[in-house]
Amino acid sequence: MFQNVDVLTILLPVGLTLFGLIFLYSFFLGKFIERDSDARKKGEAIIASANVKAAEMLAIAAEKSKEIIAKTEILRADFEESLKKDFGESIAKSVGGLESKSHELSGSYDQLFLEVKDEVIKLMHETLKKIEETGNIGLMEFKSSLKEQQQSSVFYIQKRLNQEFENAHLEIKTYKDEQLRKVEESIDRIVLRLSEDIIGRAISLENHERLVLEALNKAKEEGIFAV
Amino acid sequence: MAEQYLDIIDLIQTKSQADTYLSEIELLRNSLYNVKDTVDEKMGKYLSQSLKERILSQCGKDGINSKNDKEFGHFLDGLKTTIQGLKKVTLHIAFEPKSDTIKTIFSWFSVNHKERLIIDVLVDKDLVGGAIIDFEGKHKEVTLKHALEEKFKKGEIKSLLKEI
Repeated sequence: MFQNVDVLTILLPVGLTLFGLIFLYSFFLGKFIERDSDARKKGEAIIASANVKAAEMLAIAAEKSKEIIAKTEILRADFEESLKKDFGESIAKSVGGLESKSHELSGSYDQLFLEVKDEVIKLMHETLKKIEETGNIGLMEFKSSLKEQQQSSVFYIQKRLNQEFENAHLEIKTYKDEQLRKVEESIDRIVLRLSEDIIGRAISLENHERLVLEALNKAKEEGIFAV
Repeated sequence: MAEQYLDIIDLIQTKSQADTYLSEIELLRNSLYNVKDTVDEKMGKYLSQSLKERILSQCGKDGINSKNDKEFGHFLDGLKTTIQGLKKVTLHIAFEPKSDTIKTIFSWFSVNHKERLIIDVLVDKDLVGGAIIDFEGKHKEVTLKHALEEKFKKGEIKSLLKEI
């Protein structure tokens, strides 16, 4: 019970406060909506007026632009004309100057060329003379060297020929000696075989026996049968 | 060498004779246990006459009964070993020797070499004359071929031929 009294005590002022706040909010919201509607109307009027003004200003600006462009075109044409004229005069002046300078330079170059030409001819003469002198000396030296080489070659060839001849001679001699030696050896063999054959046939049985006994005696003398 | 076999060994002078006698003794030895033939028949069948005579003679001297296989076999074994043990001298000679030549050579050994030996004669006619002797690893050549070659090497025969 005691607790219910406390709740009512608290809830009553809170409820009153909330009601008051809702009332105030509704009042001020209505005022605000009203004011906003007025402001919108005024804004729309201003915008319409501004649009009219802007259209007028754009028309003026377009007109002004056309005038400026026309004036610029005239100025450009004048400038081009003037530039062409000035440039032509300038070129004419330059060409004249160049021709004059060219003549001057041409003269100097001619002179210089002649001097150089003389110098070159002189130098060529000197060089040719030197070449001729050097060539003569070289030719003499070459002839001398050639002669020496020729003599040397002849000497070398003769020496080689002599060597080759000696070698060939030696080889032939060696070959000949070898062949002669073989022939002699062959003859010796034949003679030996013939001798053996003839002697063998000529020996009688008695002599054979005697030779065998002589061989045995000799073997005995040399201790072959020694025990 | 057993003295017992000397008379039989006297038959043998050359290696070929020794080989023949050994072969005959071997055949007789192998036939001893053959009861079909008598010993006398077997000896007549396998041994040469001279060998048979010498064997019988020796058995008589030594009192060996040839009909007793064991006793006679032992005798033959001894004879075989004795023949195999004979030293051999090999002679290379230039001619085919006749039996007289063999006897002559053998006599030379009888006189000049006390030990009993057999000679093995090989014929090489290229030797011309003389002999090559090989005995107990020792070698000696005394031939005409060798002498001629030596003279050829020295050029003596060539000189002689030139003179001719």
